Amino acid sequence: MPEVADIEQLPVPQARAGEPAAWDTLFRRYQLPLYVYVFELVHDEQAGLDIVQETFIAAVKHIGSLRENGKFGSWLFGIAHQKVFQHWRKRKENLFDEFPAWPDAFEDSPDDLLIRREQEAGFMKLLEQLPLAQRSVLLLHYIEDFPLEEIGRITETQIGTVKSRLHYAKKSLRKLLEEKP
Amino acid sequence: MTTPREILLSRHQAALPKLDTLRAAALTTMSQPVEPWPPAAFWLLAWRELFLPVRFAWSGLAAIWVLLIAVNFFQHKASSQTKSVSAPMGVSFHEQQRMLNELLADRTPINPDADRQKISPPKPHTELTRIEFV
Repeated sequence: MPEVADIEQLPVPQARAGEPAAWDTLFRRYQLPLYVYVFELVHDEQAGLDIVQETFIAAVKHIGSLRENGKFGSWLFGIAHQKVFQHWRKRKENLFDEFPAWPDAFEDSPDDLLIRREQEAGFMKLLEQLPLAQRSVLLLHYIEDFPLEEIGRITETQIGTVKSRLHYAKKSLRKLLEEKP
Repeated sequence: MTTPREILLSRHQAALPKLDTLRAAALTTMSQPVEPWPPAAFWLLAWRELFLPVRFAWSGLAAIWVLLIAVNFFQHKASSQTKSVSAPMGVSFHEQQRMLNELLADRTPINPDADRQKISPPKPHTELTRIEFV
């Protein structure tokens, strides 16, 4: 399973230089998290695989637009998010439903929600029930533990909106888990 | 007890072989030389990517441009009409100026020195008082 804390060792400069081995390492690191993120938004295996492949090709093509090597992960997820958005736009679905802003700072970690083994299936089902915008933010928070600023950059939303979406997503998830022991 | 990340990643482990295949496919596209696009394909893609997603915005902009061109055209037409109207006005202005010149010419000064006195600059007050004392 890919680790979250190995970002510093990623061969991004070598990938910029066009080394296929570096790209292979990068893709190997992100292929599963990226697929999980995309699949959980589109719920279609083939569409998910297509979007991941399109994301990889776009990453190779546009690596010049990456400003900081350390932000490679969020940059890659940003491309995937745009592809998902295009996918939803084709299906005329609205990804960006809005919620009232949440005034308090939101600082808890993605591991704060521990799930018992018997609750796992229920968790996945509950995740599916969340609105797309909340699910997107929650997945980015759980899968890669991206900071709020980077989640905002990936989803092209204000940090306040990210905070409120994450808050409401976690709140509804907790509520649903409490309801279903 | 597991974290949501562990649950999410473990549930999609089955997709790994397929992901390995598509990763390899993506890497092969790197080594392929990039062929230049035929112009038709380029314009088709530009149409699909640039125009179609925001067609209402482009249509709005086009409508605004048409409106601006129409306004500009009619303003130009109106200004050319006012030019043609102003020609007799110009004639009357010249006529009035000629009459004014004639009137001024008739009013020749009777005493030219009087006028010259008026034009001469005023002298300092101190000098004037000195003259009075003398």
